[in-house]
Amino acid sequence: MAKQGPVKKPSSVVTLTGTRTIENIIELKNKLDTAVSKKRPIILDFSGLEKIDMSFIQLLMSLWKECQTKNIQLTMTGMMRPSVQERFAVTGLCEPDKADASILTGWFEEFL
Amino acid sequence: MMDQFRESFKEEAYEMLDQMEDSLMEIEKNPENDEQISNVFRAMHTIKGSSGMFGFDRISSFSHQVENTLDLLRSRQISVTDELVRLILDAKDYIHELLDCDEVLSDKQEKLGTEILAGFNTVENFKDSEHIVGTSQPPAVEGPAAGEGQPAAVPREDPAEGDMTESVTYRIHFKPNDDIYLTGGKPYLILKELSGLGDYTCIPEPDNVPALSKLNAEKCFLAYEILLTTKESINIIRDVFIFVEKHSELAITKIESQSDAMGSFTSKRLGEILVEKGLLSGNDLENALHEQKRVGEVLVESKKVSKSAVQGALREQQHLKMAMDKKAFAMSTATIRVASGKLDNLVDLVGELVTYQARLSQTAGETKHAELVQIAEHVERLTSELRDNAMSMRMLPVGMTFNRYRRLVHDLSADMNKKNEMITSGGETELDKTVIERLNEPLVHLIRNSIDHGIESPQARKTAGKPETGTILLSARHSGAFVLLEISDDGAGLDNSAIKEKAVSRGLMTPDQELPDKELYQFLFHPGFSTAAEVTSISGRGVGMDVVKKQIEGLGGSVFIESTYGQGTKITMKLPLTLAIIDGFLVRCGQEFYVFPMANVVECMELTPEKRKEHPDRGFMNVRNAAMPIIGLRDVFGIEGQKPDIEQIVILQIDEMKTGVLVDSIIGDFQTVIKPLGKLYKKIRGVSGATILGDGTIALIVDMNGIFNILKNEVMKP
Repeated sequence: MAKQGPVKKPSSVVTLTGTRTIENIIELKNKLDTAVSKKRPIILDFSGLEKIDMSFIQLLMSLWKECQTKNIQLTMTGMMRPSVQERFAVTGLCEPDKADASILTGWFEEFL
Repeated sequence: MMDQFRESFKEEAYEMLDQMEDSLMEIEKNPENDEQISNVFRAMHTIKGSSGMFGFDRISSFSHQVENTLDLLRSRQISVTDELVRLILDAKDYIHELLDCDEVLSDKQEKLGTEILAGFNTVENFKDSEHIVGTSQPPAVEGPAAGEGQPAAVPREDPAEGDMTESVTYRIHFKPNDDIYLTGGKPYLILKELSGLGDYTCIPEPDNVPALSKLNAEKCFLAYEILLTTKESINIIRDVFIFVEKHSELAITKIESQSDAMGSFTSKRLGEILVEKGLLSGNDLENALHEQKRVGEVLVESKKVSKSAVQGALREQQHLKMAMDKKAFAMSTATIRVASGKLDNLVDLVGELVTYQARLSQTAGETKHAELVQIAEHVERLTSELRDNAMSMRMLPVGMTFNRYRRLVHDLSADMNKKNEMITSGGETELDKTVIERLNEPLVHLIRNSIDHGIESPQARKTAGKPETGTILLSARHSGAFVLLEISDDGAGLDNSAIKEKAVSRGLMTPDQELPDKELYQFLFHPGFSTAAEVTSISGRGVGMDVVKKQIEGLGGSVFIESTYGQGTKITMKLPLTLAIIDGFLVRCGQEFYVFPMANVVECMELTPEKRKEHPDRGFMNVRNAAMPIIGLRDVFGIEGQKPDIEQIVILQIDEMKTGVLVDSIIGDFQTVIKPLGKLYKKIRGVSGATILGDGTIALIVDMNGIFNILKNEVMKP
């Protein structure tokens, strides 16, 4: 089940870094596919992420749905950089003044 | 209580009628101006509704019939004609009359109303014949259906639906094209731009986003619902989507306006929103409401709607509540209507307070009691702030009066078979309401003069190589402590030789005398200077240029003329910002006190016995190598007694002219509450009012124009 909380099983940590936009979205999808295939809790670390676009946000939603279906715990963590945080805020996924990626979980839990 | 509401309605109706007239003047200039047509319609619509509510049944019935025609005009089923504009203006005047007389009409007025309505009936009859100029505008908004299938282009809105002055909440459904990411489109930038247009809530719609294993990550499956509360028009919102509109699903729906909110401050319920968005049927909602659970939970559990749809509706509910709370707050704090009499009383009381404050300061200074002096200083500061605030409440934008002159230009031009348009600028410039009220007569006279004597007939203008339509520019702007109000026209200009001839024949100048234009034109302000040929049914109605000058000077202002023969004339009125309390400059002569308006004081100098010997001719004095006229205040007011050894010269300026006024001593700046002089003192030259000093002594306020006239007549006379 996709939910934030204490992680008991060994987790797959996916560290998001640099630019994650349409230019390399397939690459990231493949990485996430691999993480999902391990059927272990997934931790997404946002702290190294510098730039995102809507294709990234869509990919996150898609990942959440997949994790829900496969009962995989998905955790988002790390402090988001302002440019990343702004994109989530404009899209309505978080408040403008919240930088902790874990707060994104609230939106996913409510909407998906 | 009902009377109060009726009075309040009348005040608002008068304002709306004025605005309507202004809009009609614009429509006459530009018949395609949909926004102004909508303004007129809306004003008439509001008058109709409100008048019925407050028992003005005649107005309600009359305006209803006029509104019908305006509706045809708004929907372009009839076109704008001069005749129609005239008719609507007549209707507007008639409603004004009905308001004035509380609907108790004479037979003549009854007949007039019937005639006006008959005129409207005639116009309406044209609607299906040759006057049809186009089809009705498409609906203002594209409903949710547009988002369901084919990409939708949202039609441009009839401006009538988009009130630029009130906030409206729109629901925007935006589903970008599948390929938008690959084609370089950036939905984020669109959302970002929308967020800058007002209060914004974005609700992503993730229902169509597949799970990861089925996702083509380069395709866009995400849609957005945006709630935007904005004062911008729907066309501005639509422009944000200009580059993606053709390839996206776009639906913009107005879901709430300020006026809607005024009727009810209750939020929409969750179920209502889902039904409104087409996500839920009324029956399903009804069934869900019977369950003893939250509606959202029931609907999700029964799979009637998705979880995200319920959450989206909840966000919408929050957004609307926030928008309505904001509006309710704005409405409760924006403005209140206060009777002008109350404002006058307030200013009078502040005036009294200023006087007593001066007395307190003086007494405190004399007693030299430190604590009392401190209190007096504090009271002085507060009084000064209170004075400024009270005075600012009396300030009104001069543009309020401009509107009525548009009508004047329209009517007079029609009467004289001339084509004129009025352009205004600086309408936001503020003046004391008393000054504005007293400006009407001079302005009407000057505009009449421009139309009658200044601007030529269309034929003559054509011959002179000018456009057939003459232009009258009415403008206002600040200039220090004054406002400059200018009326200029592009008419024939003044004929200097004719003025000179007239002046010579009246003995105002000699034939060989050469005067600068500015001085020559001052003759026009002499009583009876205009020739009989200039008097027509339009001008020459009892108020001449001499009266204009008198009225402007009565306001503490001045007026002068500039003109170029064949090109036009400009009349400038220089007016003080306020008439109630001014910053004054207090001086003493003998036992008497006098106040000069501080705005006219340039500098002060001493006149020592030595200097006096250098200038035996008391009429002029050399000030920095320029001859400056000097006049003694003792001489002007006949003050007897011994002059001090060292007199003071206060150098004053009006327009471009400087003069020195000799006084015994200078006391300094003084907040001057202007008190009118009684009738007995009205004719005293050189005095415009009085004020009361701290110790109760009266000081006279020097009329600067009066002093200058004395100078011209007695000191500078050739």
